[in-house]
Amino acid sequence: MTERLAFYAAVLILVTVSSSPVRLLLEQSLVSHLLIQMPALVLCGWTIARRHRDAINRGRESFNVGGATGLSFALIVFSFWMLPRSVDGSVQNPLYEFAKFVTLPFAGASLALSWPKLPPLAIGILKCNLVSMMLVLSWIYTTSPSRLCNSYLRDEQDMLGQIVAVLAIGLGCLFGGSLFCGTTTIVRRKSATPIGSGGRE
Amino acid sequence: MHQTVLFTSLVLMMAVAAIFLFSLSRSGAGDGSKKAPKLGALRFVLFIGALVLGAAVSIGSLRPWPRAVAAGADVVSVKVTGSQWSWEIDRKTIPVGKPVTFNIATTDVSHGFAVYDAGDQLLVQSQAMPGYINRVSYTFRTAGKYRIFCMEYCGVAHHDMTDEILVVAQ
Amino acid sequence: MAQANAPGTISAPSCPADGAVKLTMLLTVAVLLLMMAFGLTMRMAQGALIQIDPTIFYRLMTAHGIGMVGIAGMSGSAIMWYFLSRHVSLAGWVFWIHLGLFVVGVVAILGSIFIGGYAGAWTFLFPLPAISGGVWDVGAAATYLIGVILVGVGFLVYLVEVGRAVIERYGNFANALGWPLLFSGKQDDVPPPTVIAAAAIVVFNGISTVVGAAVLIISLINLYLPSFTLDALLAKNMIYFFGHVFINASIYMAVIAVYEIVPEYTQQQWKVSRSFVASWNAVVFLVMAVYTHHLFQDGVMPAWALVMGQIISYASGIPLLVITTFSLLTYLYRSGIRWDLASALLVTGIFGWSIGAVPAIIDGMISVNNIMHNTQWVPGHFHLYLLLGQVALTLGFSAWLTRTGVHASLSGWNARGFTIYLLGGMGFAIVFLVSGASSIPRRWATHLPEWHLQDQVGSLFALAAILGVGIIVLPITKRLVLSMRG
Repeated sequence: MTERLAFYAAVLILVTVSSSPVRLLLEQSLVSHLLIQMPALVLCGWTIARRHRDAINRGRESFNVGGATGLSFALIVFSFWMLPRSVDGSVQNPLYEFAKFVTLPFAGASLALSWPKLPPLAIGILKCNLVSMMLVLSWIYTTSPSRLCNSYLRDEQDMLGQIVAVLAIGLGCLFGGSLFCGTTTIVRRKSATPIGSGGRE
Repeated sequence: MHQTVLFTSLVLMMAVAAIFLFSLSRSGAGDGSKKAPKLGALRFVLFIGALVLGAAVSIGSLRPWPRAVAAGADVVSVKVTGSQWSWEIDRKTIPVGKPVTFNIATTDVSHGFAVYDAGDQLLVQSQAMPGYINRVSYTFRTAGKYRIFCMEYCGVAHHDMTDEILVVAQ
Repeated sequence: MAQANAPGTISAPSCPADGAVKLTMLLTVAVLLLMMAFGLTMRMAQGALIQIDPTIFYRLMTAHGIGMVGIAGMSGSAIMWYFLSRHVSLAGWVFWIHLGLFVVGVVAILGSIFIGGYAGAWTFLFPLPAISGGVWDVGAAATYLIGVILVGVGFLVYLVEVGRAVIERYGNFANALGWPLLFSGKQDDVPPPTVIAAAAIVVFNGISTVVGAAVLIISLINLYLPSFTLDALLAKNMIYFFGHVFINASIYMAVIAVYEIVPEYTQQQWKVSRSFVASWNAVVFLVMAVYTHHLFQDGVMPAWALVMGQIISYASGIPLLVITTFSLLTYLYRSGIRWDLASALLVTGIFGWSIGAVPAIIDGMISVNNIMHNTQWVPGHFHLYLLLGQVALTLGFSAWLTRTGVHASLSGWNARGFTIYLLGGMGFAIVFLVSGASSIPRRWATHLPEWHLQDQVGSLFALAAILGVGIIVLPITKRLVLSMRG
């Protein structure tokens, strides 16, 4: 039920953020552009695709073994839209803008299809890397001697940097905290444990 | 101070070593019972003792604040600037018996400003950090030449980054 | 106890990536001896026994620092991997990736130092890598940082796999850290000491790796875009947080060998008590909060951070001395322990760590640090718990790993090597402490004539330590090579 609700909410949000007034409103500020509009596009793509995950995946498993293809696609798209040039482009060039509204939801969708297939090791590394790189991004935004995006003011860039730092620490705490909350215990006791391995009396 | 620190450390290290030697000298099989002795109570006493000792030492060693910076009308202020690989000291003659505050800066990388007495004992030191001014105070009790050394590795001529100041009687 | 099939073979049950663990131990022996030779060279140069150019001295110093820190971390991670695999399911290929990244990183680091001329010390303290006074170029510094990043990525992959496997078995980190026992006294499915230690290490070393990666990437960007500056105080905090936690983790990982091997000798399992759990949970916090004791000489640091540094330096000694050391000694008491090379080295490891804590805690007092910071007191204290602590634990593990079926006692060349190593290591570290009390600065290529005698005595002890380690590792190396061929 909640998944269906989320699906319709996502469609609604996607239409709303794509509509001209909301689109222009969110693009007025660098902070809302990067931290509201873009994540919203990704999240909508994710939510919409998640509902039909099984149907989409059926018969196409060989395209996305271990989620590698989908993850690579998403990472390439994210990297592109992380470039200040691309952000400027989306404000100044309608073609860029159109590309953004298409690729980001697709990246979100491909992430939704790939995430459950990713090995836990990859997920852990991605999470650690995300926190680390957000700290670096925050530093870049706050210390850059010049404006990185010509369409936006220096103040906004500073603010964005500070918010990203807070988000990085928050995400770090969230990821760290979640390690302490899992409940699924797959008991897979190893056999042949020699002396000194039990440690209990 | 220097010798006290060394002496205290060596005595405590020997105490730890003695505890090891005592236990190891009794590591041979005893009379039947191989069980480790029940020493939970001793461990608890040690733990509480360590906490009490720690609290006492912490309070005793932090009051007065060991990095207090002297301020006031009679304080001699000296500006020190480190650069690879030399010091620039704006006042190299310092009166004896007056509190001196060194204001330490750097033009390039981190350096460590340290004052050594004639007997090559380190008296006072502070880091020099890019973008900051570190302050440290000291009152010289004897007149004479004092050497300035760099204490923070700052590149391949780090050890040559030395200078001198003169403390004079008024 | 698992018995050997024949002399010369290894009787331990194999672990995933058993070959990689053995290869790591071989690599450890090689790197250790090379870096000890670098150390001896530096001490001899300081004592004017040989003449080397300061530029070469500082390259050797940089290599010695990063080489020792790196190999301590790598060998510690191999020990933890080996024993953790007894309790949880680890994927062997992950350790191979970890080792592979380490080797590639080491090649980059060695290239940056000995080809590129990088000599900015292993701590890459901002902005020294970028501002060398014209001695090394940006490319050399960048290669060095990339090398360290590669090693760091290897550790991240390793830690994530350890964390994954621990969660797979224990559900979450709260269970793996023994919280049910600690907080509500639940006795069912209490994790063994190794799992509790591994979970704690994943938490603090994982966080330090993330922070380290960030400051390394930032330093790298700064090399090529100097206008992107970094606050030097923030950089120093990040670097020392990362460095302090990383090197401490190398000891905490190696101590697992004591939890797992000593019970084979004493016939008594290492008990997970509430105080054991409490101390490891305290260590998670202490090891991360203590790094500010590296910044006592930075007056611009907030006073509360420095007070915290002093108090936590002291507090860090309590879990070590009151729990680990105390437990080991009670287990050994009347145990009838059989002394061979492995057991002697493992006990030495805890011994070196314990006595090293004394000068460490004393230098962790601000009033002492004012006169001891960056003198040879600092290498004095850390050589106690690295040369006589971490290295002893690692060599003890290697000796146990390559033990033969014959119940050898500590005699012959083993005993001689062990004694020479122990005396050499002790003397070497104590000379450093004496030199520290004589206010001799650390990291100086050339020394004043009045310091030469101490340097020469130090060199003599260094030579003895190398000789001792050499004698100890010779048969171990031979058996490691043999077992890997077979």
